[in-house]
Amino acid sequence: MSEAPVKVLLIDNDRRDDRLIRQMLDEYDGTPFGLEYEDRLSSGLERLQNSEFDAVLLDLNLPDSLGQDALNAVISASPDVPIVVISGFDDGSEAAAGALRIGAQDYLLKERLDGSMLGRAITYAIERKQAGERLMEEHSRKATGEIIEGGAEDLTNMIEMAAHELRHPATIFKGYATLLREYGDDLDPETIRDALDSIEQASNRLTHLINNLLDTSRIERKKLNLAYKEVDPYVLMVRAAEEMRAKATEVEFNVLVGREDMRVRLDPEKIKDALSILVDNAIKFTSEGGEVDLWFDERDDAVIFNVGDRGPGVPENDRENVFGRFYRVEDEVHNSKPGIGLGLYIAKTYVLAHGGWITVTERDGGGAVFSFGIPKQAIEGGFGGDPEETPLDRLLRRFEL
Amino acid sequence: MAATPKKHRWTGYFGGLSFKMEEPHENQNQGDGKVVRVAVVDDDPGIVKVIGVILRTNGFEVIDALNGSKAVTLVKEEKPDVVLLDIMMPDIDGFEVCRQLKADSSTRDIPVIFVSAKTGLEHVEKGEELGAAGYIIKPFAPAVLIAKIKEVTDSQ
Repeated sequence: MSEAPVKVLLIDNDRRDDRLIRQMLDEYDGTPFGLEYEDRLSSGLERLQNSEFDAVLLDLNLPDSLGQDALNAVISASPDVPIVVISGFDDGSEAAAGALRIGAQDYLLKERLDGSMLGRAITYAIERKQAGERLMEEHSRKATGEIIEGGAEDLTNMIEMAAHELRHPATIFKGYATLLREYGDDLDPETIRDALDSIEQASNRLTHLINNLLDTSRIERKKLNLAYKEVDPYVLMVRAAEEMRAKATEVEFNVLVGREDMRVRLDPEKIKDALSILVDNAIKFTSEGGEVDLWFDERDDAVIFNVGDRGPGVPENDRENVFGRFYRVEDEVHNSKPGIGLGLYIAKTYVLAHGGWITVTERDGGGAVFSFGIPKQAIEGGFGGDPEETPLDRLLRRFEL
Repeated sequence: MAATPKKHRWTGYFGGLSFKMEEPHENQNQGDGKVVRVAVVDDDPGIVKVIGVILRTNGFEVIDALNGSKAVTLVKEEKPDVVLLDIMMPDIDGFEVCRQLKADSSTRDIPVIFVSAKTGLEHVEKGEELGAAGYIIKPFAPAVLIAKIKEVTDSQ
């Protein structure tokens, strides 16, 4: 019985490559391949939209798109299809590393290609992509699994906490409503303004609580799906800071880093939420006129997002617990803060689902720094074969460097 | 005035009712012209504020504390006429604050009214056991709060 051919789409502006690659794949002893060909990015994308492919062979030198833009476009169009970049000229390991970072599974030089290399590369790319997806699911499960064990007791706990917490805004609404109705005409304008401000704040707090409960419910039902996109971490930070600026006018927000040409693949909504939660948490421990700082660091393997405050810091024996569900730092110094202790738990779950980590440390000069790292090769493209081998290692091996 | 103070009548669960409040800015006093001073204890500044505005508008004098240990110190120093006490607080909870106040001869006779989001009967009963004069559930009708404060201070 013959195996079903692996459907491969070649996007390459040089028609001769179509013939060459077809020949090579015919020579390959392993899985049979069915090759289809498009000479432009636009027609390639259309093809991807209309039929299913197991892999894409992509030349980055196309008439209607050059370099990484083409790669980005193909990934956005078909995030599940593994991509092997084939390049007509040796543009150095930088370009190759860049392609892998964005999400290509492999990067090959045309001049060194032969049938068995190409065949193997495509087969491995498919395997790696699938392994990456499995790993991502695994991460997601790990992130949610540890919480689900609690079961019924946790659920009761959550409902009780929520019910208790909901009475606070209700008290504020009811108190001011009565006051305004009964005494509205006699109250001075400042008291009225104050009352309205308090109602608004209580309403914001209520919305926040509802959102947290919904997020938690999604996490617990294991409905946490990540929509990966390539983004500039700087833009994410600025967005989170701006949102907070609008909400909390009494605190200054500083983004301490400038724009760099950096890209990382992550779910921008989830990571922005995680950032907002950390900033929100920092505000709780920042007095009026205080400052909250945001910055990121780049490491070889990860981008690290940091949120620092100048508050009392997190006591050492609390640092492990702060990310647990329902955990609230409660002692004489901190007082209790609004919320039912779900925010940091949600942030942690989002970060873990990306294969990342989250931590809190003491800030130099006082205060706390909450940091989370998102792997650059976030699950996609990074795994398969030797688990210790990074895509860059693989690349260096390929070029025998 | 009667020589023997009346025992506080236990009343709880006023939350859902609504009463017309009194005319504003008439000072609330205990018949001797002294303005009634209320200590408001809650870890939520928003709640402390709304209770404060309601009470001041109704002619009470208000002092406040945002946690349990500060509340004990405040009540011992200021000797208010009544204490409104939240239960769930970060450092020491309202029950413990009440116990400490009732254990001290200088604060024993100051009536304590719990104002809490906890609705369980066991909490209401625990409050009663600790010698509280009342238990009001959040959210509450302001008029109920005022009626309760007047009831316990008038009986003093």
